[in-house]
Amino acid sequence: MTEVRIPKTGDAVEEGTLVEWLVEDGARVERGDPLYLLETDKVAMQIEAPSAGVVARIGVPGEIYPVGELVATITERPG
Amino acid sequence: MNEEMRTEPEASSALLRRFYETARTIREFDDRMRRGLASGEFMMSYWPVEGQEAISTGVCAALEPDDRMVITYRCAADAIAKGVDLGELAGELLGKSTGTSGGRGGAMGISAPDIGLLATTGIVGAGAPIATGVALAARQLGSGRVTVVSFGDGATSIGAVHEAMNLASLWQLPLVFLCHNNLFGEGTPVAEYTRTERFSDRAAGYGMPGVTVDGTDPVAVHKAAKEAVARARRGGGPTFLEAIAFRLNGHYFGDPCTYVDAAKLEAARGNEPIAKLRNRLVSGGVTAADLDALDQRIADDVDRAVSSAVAADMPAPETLYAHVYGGTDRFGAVSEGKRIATSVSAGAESELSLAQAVNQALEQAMARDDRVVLLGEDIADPMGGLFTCTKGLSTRFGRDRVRATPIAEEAIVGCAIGAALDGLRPVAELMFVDFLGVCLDQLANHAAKLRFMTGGRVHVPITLRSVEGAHSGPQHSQALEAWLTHVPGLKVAVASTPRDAKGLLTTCIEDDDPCVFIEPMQLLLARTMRGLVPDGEIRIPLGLADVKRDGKDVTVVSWGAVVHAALQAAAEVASEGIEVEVVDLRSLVPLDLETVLASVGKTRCLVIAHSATTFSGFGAEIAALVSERCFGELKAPVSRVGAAFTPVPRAHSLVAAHSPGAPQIAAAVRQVCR
Repeated sequence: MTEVRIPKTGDAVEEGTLVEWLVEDGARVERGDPLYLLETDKVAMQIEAPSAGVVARIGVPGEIYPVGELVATITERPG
Repeated sequence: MNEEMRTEPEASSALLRRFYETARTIREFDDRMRRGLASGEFMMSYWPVEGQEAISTGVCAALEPDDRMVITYRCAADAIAKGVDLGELAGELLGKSTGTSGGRGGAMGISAPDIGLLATTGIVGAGAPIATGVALAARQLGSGRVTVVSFGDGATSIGAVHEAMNLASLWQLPLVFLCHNNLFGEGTPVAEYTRTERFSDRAAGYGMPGVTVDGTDPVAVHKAAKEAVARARRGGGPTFLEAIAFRLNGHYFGDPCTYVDAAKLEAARGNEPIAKLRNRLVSGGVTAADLDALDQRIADDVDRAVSSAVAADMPAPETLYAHVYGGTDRFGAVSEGKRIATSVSAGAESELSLAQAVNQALEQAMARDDRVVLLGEDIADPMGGLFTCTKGLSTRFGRDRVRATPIAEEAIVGCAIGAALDGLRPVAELMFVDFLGVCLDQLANHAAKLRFMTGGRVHVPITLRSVEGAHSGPQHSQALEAWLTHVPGLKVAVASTPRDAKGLLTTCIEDDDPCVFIEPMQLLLARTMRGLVPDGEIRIPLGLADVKRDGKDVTVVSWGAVVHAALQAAAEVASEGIEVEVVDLRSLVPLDLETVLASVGKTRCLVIAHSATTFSGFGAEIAALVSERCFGELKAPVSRVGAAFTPVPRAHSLVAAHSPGAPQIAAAVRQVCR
């Protein structure tokens, strides 16, 4: 299982907004597929899936989370 | 792409496959870093290299394992192509104890001397002067090694690179200037910061060949690099090699890339090096399955390396002071409990001027150790230095070891640093200490920090001699030692007598850390100020003050030319019944606080006198240390005598009002013991 946490996109960045999910909960993604939109006071960026598997969404769109907060997991399923 | 750009169609399939493996490893590593950052697995500053893999791949394939590189903080491609251990690289980027530098340097401090990767810099363009020194060491020591200094296109705008190109060409050093032109200087497209169309054209201005190649084609890069490396190795001097490859990611991870033209980026992605190389291999008969298996092995290797780095410990807080200075003990700014006696060889003494004593120290050091080389403006005969401190040395030891340089302080200090990294013990001369501003990056960011930021993998045994003080106006007369004592990693010595000058300079040259040795101009100019100096060897340890006059009533702590003013003041107040003890610090870092405290413990009155401005001068540090340690014993507040907080004026009438002398010191002495 791969954890998806709010990244630190700059030295001074302490929190980020999960703007929008780009996949359905429970959907299967390939590595590099768009996962969600992140916005901080410095940057808006599309976060890609770090691994392939089934997405379990945790974070809520519109919420502000501290850097390091768990917002999703991706579980690889055989076959 | 420029039509004059070289392309190279032919290469053996084995070589292509080797290129693919290297470039693919770089891509996988870079991708893994960005994935880990994006998913919040780890957090650090990272500068992506996607798109530039073929440049490092082609160049490093043209090098021998023992050849040298100096690289930048966009480090992953060069470091991996040179052969760095992936786990150690990842560990350093993540700030772990398993990193190349034990987590002290991060992306800006990758060093692996065992594979020829000497240093990385986080200062744009600063590697180039250092690389001239690494190449000089190869020349002087006859190692046959070639050095490659890697930098981005943005670095072509900074002076350090130009000073280095001029010096390298002048001395025909075995060096390759490798410009990764990724089309952006951080967040600014090339056309917005220069009118130069091809950076390699600039090489002609320095009398060296320049070539531009397609940086997405490792074969073209390799061919050009092989020619440049061969030229350097056979003594044909440096080459400027520009390789162009669009940077496919931001300047740093998290960069919103608002300055990148989306259509150009898309076109560049369609021309990216790894897919092209893969197609070339497949059309040459390699199967996709074969390459897929190779990709998987690389991915596994990278993942294993990064996972081990993620799991590794951070360095322990109690190791903080390791690698600031050499030696195994905690050894900071104050030389407490580490006093070593002065050593003097038996024999006659002669009366010398300060310049003669400096000259003798240099001459004897050069005679003892072939690795000692001198660098500086006008230092060779017939001039022998502005103050004749190096007179006769180029005649005796040759111009290879006494190197008169261009007027280029960044190149001088950087060259000394690089030479020191790879086996020499350079002594560089900064004609006036006022020129520190020109080269402070090299001294403070590189000489002082490289031991620390490489976790002790390299060290910088340089001595920088310079002249301070006297009355040559605002830009040739300053006393700037406080600029230096503020930088952890430097040692700072100031001589007040010919004997001390010889003993301190000898120690600085033999020290494994960067030392700045200051010669007061008043004493160099006062030819009548002579003193007895041992003809043989004398070594005065740094961190050992000298009591120049004993007294019981007031302590005057001083250094450099002001020591003589303090002695005059002491003689003056002696007639009034005040016995002054004059402590000459001789070295400011390390500081002999023990001797200062012992003297203050006796007199219970302290005056500090120096040439620099009183406000924020080094005297403030001593006053604070003494107040912290023995406030209760002081009979009066600590008094400071220094220069007014103005630039040093030219007019004698203003100088008299600006600079401290014996009358001011005497007045302060009377004040504190009243």
